[in-house]
Amino acid sequence: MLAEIGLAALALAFLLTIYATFASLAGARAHAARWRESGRRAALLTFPALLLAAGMLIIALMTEQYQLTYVYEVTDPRTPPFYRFTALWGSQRGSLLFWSLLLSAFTFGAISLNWRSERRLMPYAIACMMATLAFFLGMSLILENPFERWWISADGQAVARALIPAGATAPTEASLRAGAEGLNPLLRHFGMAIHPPMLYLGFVGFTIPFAFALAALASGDLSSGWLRVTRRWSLIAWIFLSIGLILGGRWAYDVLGWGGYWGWDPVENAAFLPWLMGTAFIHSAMIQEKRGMLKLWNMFLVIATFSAVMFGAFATRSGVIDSVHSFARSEVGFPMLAFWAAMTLIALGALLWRWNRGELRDEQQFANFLSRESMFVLNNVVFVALFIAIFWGSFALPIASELFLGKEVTIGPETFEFYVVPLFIAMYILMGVAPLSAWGRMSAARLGGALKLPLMLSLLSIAALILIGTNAAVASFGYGVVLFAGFVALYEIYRGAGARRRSLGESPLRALAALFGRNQRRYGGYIVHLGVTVIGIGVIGSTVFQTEVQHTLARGETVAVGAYALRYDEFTRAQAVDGRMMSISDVTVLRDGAEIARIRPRVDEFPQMPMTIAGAHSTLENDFYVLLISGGRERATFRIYINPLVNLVWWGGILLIIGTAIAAYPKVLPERPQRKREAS
Amino acid sequence: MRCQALHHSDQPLPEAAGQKRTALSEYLEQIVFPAERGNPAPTSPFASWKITWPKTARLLILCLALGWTAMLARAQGVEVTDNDVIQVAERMYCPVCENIPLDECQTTACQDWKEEIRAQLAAGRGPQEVIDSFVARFGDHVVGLPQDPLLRALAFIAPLLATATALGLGVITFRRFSRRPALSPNFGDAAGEQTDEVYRQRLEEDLRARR
Repeated sequence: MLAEIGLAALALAFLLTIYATFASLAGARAHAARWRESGRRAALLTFPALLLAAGMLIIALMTEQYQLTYVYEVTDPRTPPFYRFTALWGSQRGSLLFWSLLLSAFTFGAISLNWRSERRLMPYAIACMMATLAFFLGMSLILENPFERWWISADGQAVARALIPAGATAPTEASLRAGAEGLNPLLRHFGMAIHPPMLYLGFVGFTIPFAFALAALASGDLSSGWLRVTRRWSLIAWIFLSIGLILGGRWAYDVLGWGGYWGWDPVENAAFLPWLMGTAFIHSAMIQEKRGMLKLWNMFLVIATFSAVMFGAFATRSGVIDSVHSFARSEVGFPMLAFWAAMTLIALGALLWRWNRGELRDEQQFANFLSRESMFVLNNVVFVALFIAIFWGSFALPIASELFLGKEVTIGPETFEFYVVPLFIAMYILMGVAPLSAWGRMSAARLGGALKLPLMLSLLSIAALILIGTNAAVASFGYGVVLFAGFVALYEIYRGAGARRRSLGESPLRALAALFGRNQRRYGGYIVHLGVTVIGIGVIGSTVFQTEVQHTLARGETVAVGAYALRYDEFTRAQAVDGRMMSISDVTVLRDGAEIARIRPRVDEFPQMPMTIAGAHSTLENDFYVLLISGGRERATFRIYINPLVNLVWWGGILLIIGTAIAAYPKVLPERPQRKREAS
Repeated sequence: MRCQALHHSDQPLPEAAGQKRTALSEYLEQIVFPAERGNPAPTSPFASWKITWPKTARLLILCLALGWTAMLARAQGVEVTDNDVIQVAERMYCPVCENIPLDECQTTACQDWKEEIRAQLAAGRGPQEVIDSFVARFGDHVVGLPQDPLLRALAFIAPLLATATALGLGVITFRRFSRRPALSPNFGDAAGEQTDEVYRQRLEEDLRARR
């Protein structure tokens, strides 16, 4: 019964999306309010319909309905309830349904919040959102149906069908339970509860800005309205994508067992590409808002961000690239490629048409090279260059090489680092210089004067680092550049709060609170910059100064690694509640002869693969990270990493999220009454 | 960068290097610098012949001795540590699971490859020689940096060219826009309002044209 209800809800949602698309388009073209309203209601209804469908699948997962092939493939009788729930997005079919559910939720939110304020754009935006949703639901219904069930056909063969074939019977419960496969071991981690949903929220969220951009192009309403709406929705999508990327790094660090958090894997890169484009848009949208410039470019960035999301979905789900993050090879590849190409071409065609009509002409000209808008344009160049280099190495070159030269290639970290290191240096320098520049005109003398203090502090920091014994010149320079961006953010906050204290006589804390309250976007942005600074320090420390060694130790033997020592104490074999066997080693971490921690690196043996689970002793200074490579009771081989400052990567990520939340949070107080109060 | 604490595997191990240096330097001193320079009498079998060797003959013997030492080292094998293997493996990729570095992969195929790396290093091959041998047999996809000169050039130069082209197109576009008269000559922070005004004007023009 669950499967029937789920399937009916899925089909209903699909029909609603088709209807909403055409009704909204008809209403917009014919200026028919009834059609527009009907399209809106149909679009709103897709959310409860998909909530019902997803609810049915969750109930099936939780109550072990193994006749559903999806439940059979991603769980088994030993799967704990927590992983039964997260299995909703653990494989292709469930995750497509989950993607659709999130898209319908975003559409519901966008319609509820923007229907009144953006009446001219909304029908076109709804049509775009519904067309995208219709595509994903169509794939769920036709190619990757999560409500497909096992049947025993009349000739005794096991077949998977959504509807019962003629003469078929249901298999026995016992045979289904015995054969259930269970969740991919890589996905049995607490991060699975948060990382994929956050990433999907980011990906799906970028559909809304794209829909509004396309609506503006289709309707010809290229006023500031679409940008205002788009920027806020972009920030919401960006914050989720950022959280998803940070959690993905943490998941890799904990589960993949290689002592790092970013491996330049193609699927990691596929998630990073829309983030780069989205970041470029968030910055350049400010130029259009403040100066009425870069209208064409902003439209292009919104389209490129959505296009990157769709390409990423295609790359991850089609099987065109293999990765620990990708889904198995599937039939959705070609439809996804076609949809990606069609949406991108339609949007670019509309953009060029409007551009050719002169409707995206800038209202101002670039005043000089040192102006803030010029700095933002350079910032965009850096992000686009990063996008090109990463896209080339991850997808374009491997695919082109295989197609035209018949050679498979793998592009590893050493190739990516060749580009991204100088580009990130440029990004940090611009992060430092741009906030101190002014809109319109800026003289070199004025900019130089503003830069003096942060630059001096950065140079002093480099000198201090050298004095305390940082012997790697590259690292000292890197720290200096990254700190420069951080000092500018702090300096700007200090200057703002100081100005309020002087003019209004406020206490430091009140001045700071009022500063953030009055200009959330600006100062929230500085917190984001501080977060990126902290991440930068963590990345430099954990890559340049990482120590990696492998040692085989007898029980009771100790080995020195850097300032630490590791003693191998004990070895245990145990079985977990879900049936996996675990080889657990007990080791003691020592520093200056004193025991500071006992950790238990282990290997989990799943039928599909072994999983190396690290044991780590974490401090703000570094992580002492140990992997059990092989061994037994008498001797064991360990790979030991010392990852200096790695925890700053996570702390910086938290700061970045706080900053974005401040910037995106709707203003509580209207501007005018506050001004009046302050004046009085 | 990732393995700063590791010694480079084509360098001899510290203790082995020390032993080699001692034996060789003693022999050198005995042959090249005879007793008149303050060294003890040569202890090599040639010393008992009591023949004054010309310089060329001494050099010949030196070369033979070096060759002999190298052959012995190669035949007996060099001690290879896990760290030496990791250092090579982390530059390579799993042959079965695409895009998984070899040193991190736990599959049987990867274990076999790591053992082969160990064997090749023990036979006296350098890290690059080992990698080259895998590339020659399995192709460029086993390493993170293509060894084929064309692919390597494409990996490094193409993004630079693409970025330069994008930058160039951007500059040309900005110049074209800069030459056009701006819609509004005013500078200010109310660009949004100006944009709305422009839009309203255009809307009114469209409506007038329709009438």
